[in-house]
Amino acid sequence: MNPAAPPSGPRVVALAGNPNCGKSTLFNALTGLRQKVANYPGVTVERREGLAYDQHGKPLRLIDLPGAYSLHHQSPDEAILRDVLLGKMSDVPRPDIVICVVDASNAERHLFLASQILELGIPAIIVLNMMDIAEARGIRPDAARLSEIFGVPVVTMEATSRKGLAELRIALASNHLKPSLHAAPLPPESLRHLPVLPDGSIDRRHLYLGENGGSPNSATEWRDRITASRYGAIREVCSRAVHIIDPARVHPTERIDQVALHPLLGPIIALLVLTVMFYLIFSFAEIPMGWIESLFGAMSSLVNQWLPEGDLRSLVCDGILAGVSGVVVFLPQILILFFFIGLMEDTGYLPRIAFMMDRIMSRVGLSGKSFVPLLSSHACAVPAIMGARTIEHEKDRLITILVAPLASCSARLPVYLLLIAAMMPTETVPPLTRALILMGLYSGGILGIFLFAWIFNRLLQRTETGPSIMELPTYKLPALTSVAFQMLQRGWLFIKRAGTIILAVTIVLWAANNYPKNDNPALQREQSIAGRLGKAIEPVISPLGFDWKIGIGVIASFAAREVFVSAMAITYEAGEIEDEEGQRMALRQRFREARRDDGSPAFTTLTYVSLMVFYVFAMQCASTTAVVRRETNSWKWALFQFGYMTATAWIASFLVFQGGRLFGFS
Amino acid sequence: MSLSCTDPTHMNPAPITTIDRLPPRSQAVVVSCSGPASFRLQELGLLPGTHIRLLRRAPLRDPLQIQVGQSLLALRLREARSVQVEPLASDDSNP
Repeated sequence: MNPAAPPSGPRVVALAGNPNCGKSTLFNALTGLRQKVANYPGVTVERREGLAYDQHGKPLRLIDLPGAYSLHHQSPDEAILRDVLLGKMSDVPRPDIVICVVDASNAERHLFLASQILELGIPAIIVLNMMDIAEARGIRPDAARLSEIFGVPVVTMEATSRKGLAELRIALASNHLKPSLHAAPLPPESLRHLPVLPDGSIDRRHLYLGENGGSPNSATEWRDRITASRYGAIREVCSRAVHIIDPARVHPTERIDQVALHPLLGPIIALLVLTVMFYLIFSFAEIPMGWIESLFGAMSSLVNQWLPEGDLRSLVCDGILAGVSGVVVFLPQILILFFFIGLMEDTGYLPRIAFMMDRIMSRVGLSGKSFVPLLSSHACAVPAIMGARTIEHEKDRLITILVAPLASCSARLPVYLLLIAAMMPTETVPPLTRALILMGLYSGGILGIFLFAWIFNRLLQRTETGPSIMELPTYKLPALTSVAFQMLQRGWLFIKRAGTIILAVTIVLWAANNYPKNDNPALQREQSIAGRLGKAIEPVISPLGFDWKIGIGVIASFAAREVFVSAMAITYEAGEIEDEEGQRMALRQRFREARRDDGSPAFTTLTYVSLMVFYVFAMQCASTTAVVRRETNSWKWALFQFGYMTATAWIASFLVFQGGRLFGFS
Repeated sequence: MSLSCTDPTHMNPAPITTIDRLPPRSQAVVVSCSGPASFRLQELGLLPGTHIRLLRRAPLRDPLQIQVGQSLLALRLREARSVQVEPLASDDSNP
């Protein structure tokens, strides 16, 4: 057991409950913006803590524990819940108070976990959340009766509309909170091996101390019998304290599901919803992205006026400002995507999409839950990888993270557009052809996702897969403030985690392009570290049809793919053109005129195709690598991902270029 | 729907079957759970004697959506096959 928190420190309060019990909404309502998000050590489980105040204004350290169905854990999230509540987590103190959040409309099942927790000897409060939904469905839990039975305060609540918050704060302010005295009967044989506490009662914490969530010496049949007797006790409690007006009534959610999960209409609706979401991501995000770009443009020209020409000005403009804007420019897409994912999660629609897509994803060993992260990866892999936190199984989550960057994200788009425009003059090639090429590139990414998910699933076969049982929560109106909170939190997390790395890499690249100094500006590019690197890797990339100048662009792209465009603009001296469209116009002219050292054109159709294929598969995004490192808690997977994707890109480009030449293309 | 090959008749003593073989929108009583998922299924309320209702299959036939108490769960065929049930006379009384 951890030593008790110093008497002066705030009391530690843990929020525990099943997934979808409204725990996070309650957490947000209690803490407001005074919260921080991190990871638990060694796992990819999100750790949320915040500062709350009781009704007397005394501070409380609030911990939002991961959702779980049972203390007999079957996923990393559930293991965290058990470890924290048993005081086995090294840097989290054992809670002084536990709040068991129970969905009032599904009290029987939610009380299963609550009753396990109540037996651990921690002073507790039960929150009956979603009273409005329960009432609408004719389910009336009797809070007073439940409080009497369990011997702890029971607070009724609608966390979404903040009803009941004051009552909960009053309950938290009490100095007389006690552990529950209620204990579900256990089969006599199972009791024999459990230690007895000084007061003569059985120490039930030992039920959960063994591996895989079992008690150290409990046979499987006991676990079944313990579950049965616990449910028996809860059903008896519910028969006394939860009145259901019409038990045979059809679930109201069922009416919506008849349409939303209809064999034909269901997929059509999902397609519409997702199309609208992506349309909004792409079209809405453009606007703030434009603001961000012009803001940084303005700052850059201010600096240009104030600072004398030289290294410092160059560092500030081309290094720091470019780096910061490269981070911030991601934000609009990330925020919009998280807003929609949050909305779909909160309303209960996201699990329905997972339900419909489960079969397809299971073909490559994933579950339906991987579908939305992988889909959103087409906007940006960074939020997608962070969104993979909704996947419970560690293996599924890891595979999803590993394959997500294969989706053609929006950073690839400027590169694709530049290359397509340069390859095919707009005047002679119909737009449809260009659109088809673009679609081909996107399909290549999707194919890669399925192929590698399948391969990794085979490779990781040894890892245990848990049962793929998914809950389809009741539909409800979204708690917009909670959704917005989560959106801002994730956005901030991205800036904090990936931003620093992106900024550092941009500055390093700036230095690589500008040092060592050469007196002849014409030779600067070639003589710089980047130029030398480009030349050094020429033997590696020439089989793909790239010369050293393209090499500079490819190397620069390892920071972020879209850097290719600006790196090429610098390398080919396309001039300082503010407008992206104008830059592409100027660049594609330069590309067509570009010659290799031997006088042959640097860019042939085959070069373009090979380059595009390279960009489909290559892992060129420092932000993604930084986020993967954070989410998997190891460089191992981040580097593995970098390795396998880049190797695939090289092989695919090699096959395209050399194969193309064999067939006489140029 | 097209899959009423194992339509239980009221005359026979109710045959034991598994969830995946129930006709859509029918009800049944859980007899037992087996297989690797059995423990979690029981913790989610699929205990012997509990009434369940098969609501529908996903558009691609797998997984299945069932109602247990007030919970709506999605089970893949693999898990659905591991739950033995006794079908109840099909009285889909509710609209």
